[in-house]
Order: sequence, then C-alpha cells, then structure tokens
Amino acid sequence: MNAPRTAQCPSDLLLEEHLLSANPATARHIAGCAHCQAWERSAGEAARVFARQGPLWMAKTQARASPMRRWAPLLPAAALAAAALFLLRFPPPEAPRYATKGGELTVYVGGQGEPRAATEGERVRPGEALRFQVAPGSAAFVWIASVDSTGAVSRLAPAEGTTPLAVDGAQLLPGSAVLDAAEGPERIWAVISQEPLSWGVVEQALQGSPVRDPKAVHIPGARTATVLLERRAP
Amino acid sequence: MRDGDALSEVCRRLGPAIYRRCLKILRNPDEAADACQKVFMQLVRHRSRLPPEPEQLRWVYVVATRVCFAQLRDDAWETASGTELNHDAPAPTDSFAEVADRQMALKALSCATEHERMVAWLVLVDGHSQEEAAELLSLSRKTVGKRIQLFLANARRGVFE
Repeated sequence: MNAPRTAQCPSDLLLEEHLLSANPATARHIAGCAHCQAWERSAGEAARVFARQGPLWMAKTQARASPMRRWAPLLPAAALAAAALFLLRFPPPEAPRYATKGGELTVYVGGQGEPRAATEGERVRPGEALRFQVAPGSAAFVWIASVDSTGAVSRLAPAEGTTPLAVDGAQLLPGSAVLDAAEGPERIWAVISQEPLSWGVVEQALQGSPVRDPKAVHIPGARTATVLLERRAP
Repeated sequence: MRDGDALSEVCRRLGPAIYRRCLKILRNPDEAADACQKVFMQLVRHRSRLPPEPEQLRWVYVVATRVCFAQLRDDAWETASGTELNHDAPAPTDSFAEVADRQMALKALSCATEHERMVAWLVLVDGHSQEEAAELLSLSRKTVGKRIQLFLANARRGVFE
C-alpha cells in the first residue's frame, strides 16, 4: 500500500515544479518521505509513457487543430482533383526511380521544362521545384531533408513544427521546395520510422554526411531512402 | 521561434506533467491519453493566452484539472445510472482497504457538484492549501472554504445514510 500523504508533503503542483526546476527544500522533504518518493517513482513511469506516446498525441492534436479540418468533408474530392492536376502536370516517370531501400522515395522535379521524376544524379536547375512522394507501405513517420556538398542539412518536409509527417501507404507530400542558385551535388533523404523521431535526431545523423556516400548514414530506429541531385546553372 | 514551434515546445516540456495530472485524476491510461490530447487542443485554441514560462505549469495544471473533471462529468452522464463516476475499477495492486476507501470517496464525490468536486480534489487529494486552490481556480479563499465545508457535510451525510 502507498504511504499516505502527510501534512508536510508538498502539493502535487509543487512536486511538479520541483521536477522542472529543482527546489532544495522539496528535495530534502522527498528524501525522507515515503509518500513523495512513491509519487516521484510513478512520475518517472508516467514520463516514460509520455516519451513513447506523447509525440503521437501531439501530432494528432496538430492535425485536429489544423484549419484544414473545417474543409475535411471536401477533402476526398479535393484530393482527387489535386491528384488529377498533378498527374496532368507531372506525367508518370518513364525512367526507373532510385531509392536505396525498396523504392520508398520519389522526387519529382517541375517548374521548368518537362516535369519528371528524378533519377540518381538527376541534373536540376535553379528555380525548379521539388515535390516528394513517399511509400513506406504501412503507417510510418517521415522527415524529408537534404544534405549539400558541405554536409549542411536543410529541412524540407514538414517545413515547420516539431513532429514528422504521419504517412500511411503511399503519399505525395504537401508543399514543395524551390531550388536556389547554389551549385553542386545535393542528396535528398527520406527518414522513415515507426516511432516519431525528433528533428534534432535526424539533423544530427545527417549533419556532415558525405553527399556521395549514402551508406555512411545510419539512424537508429529508422530506415532511409535517398536520391542524389546535381545542381547546375543552365 | 514561430508560434507553432513555441507551442510544440510547451507541449513537449510540460507534456509529462499534463499526462501525470490526467492519469492521477482519471486513473486509466487510455482515458488519460484522451484527456492529454484535449489539453493540447486547449493550448492550441488559447495559445494567445499562454502565460510566460514560469507560470505555464500552473496554467496547464489547472487546464488539465478542468478537462479531466469535465471528462468525468461527461462519462458519468453516459453511465446507466447517470449518478456514479465510472472510473472506480480497482487497479491490480490495490488492497481491499484501498478499494473500500476509494469506493467511499467516489460515493462522496458523486454526490457533489462539479465545482465542489474540483475544490475538494485540489485541497483534500492534491494537498493544496485553501489559499492555493483559490488562486489556481481564480476564486476567493472564502468561496473555497465554503465549498469544502459543503462537500464534507454532504459526504458525511452520504456515507452515513
């Protein structure tokens, strides 16, 4: 049975405050109080549950809070129209697409000339737009990033927020990236995981990776797919 | 930092405390997860009212408390009797005495109004002083005192009748 709370025990709120910012008086009390030690143990257990599941709850909340939600009844029709429009503008690629593992990433290049799916080493020009399709098969979380010849990492999708995109099956991701005037090789990465990874983990794993050697990248708990682009001025 | 990023940072930093609060009141991990998401939704909706960082924990603590009590109220409406809280299933580690105590406490809580319940919980379960509870709920100390007295009087009557 848990030890009962005593009159000297700090309130739950004070104990929570102590976890965020250590309070010496609270720490002294906990050291000699069975009730508060039990509280601290159960707090640690709950924190571990939150660490595992919290990012998913946050992602769900962001999706529910999206202004798009009010248009949800129209989304199936809009999605069909968008898909038709995209296929008209970007016809299915004839060249085989490249991905390191299982064809899970397709990079579409559009904006100048004929829209196309990028093959490994595809030449791309400033002002061209990139869109990304990922096909993890089952439900997964996805980050899209790029690494240039200096090893610098750029985040491409999702462009904002702290949680990765939730993708089920195959999906053309919302938004696009427009290429600037920089030249040289640039590697596009899709980082796919069953549990949501933080952007910091992905960025740290890709930072400084050799742009021409995709095998050098290993991210625990995730698999990757990648395409190399060669940026050239026209 | 953008607005959305700042909010995500708040959810990440205070998320464990929010989940603990929900779990303590609701005692069921699935219901606590639901309540946690409701709290996040409240944070998104009221992000413009988010206080400065030192006061954010108190703010979300009160929001989580209100969300959980609203959830208990809604769940109670969905039960067959409509008068009992539906989270009285014993946890696997509870002794007979703990189950009996909790059933008695739940009987007392189910007789109280939502306002009385929240005040009683903060003072009698969480260990806040009446002044602290008054500050958290933006009530006067006198109102908190009256609600506690009313709650205890009704609880004694309910338990002994």
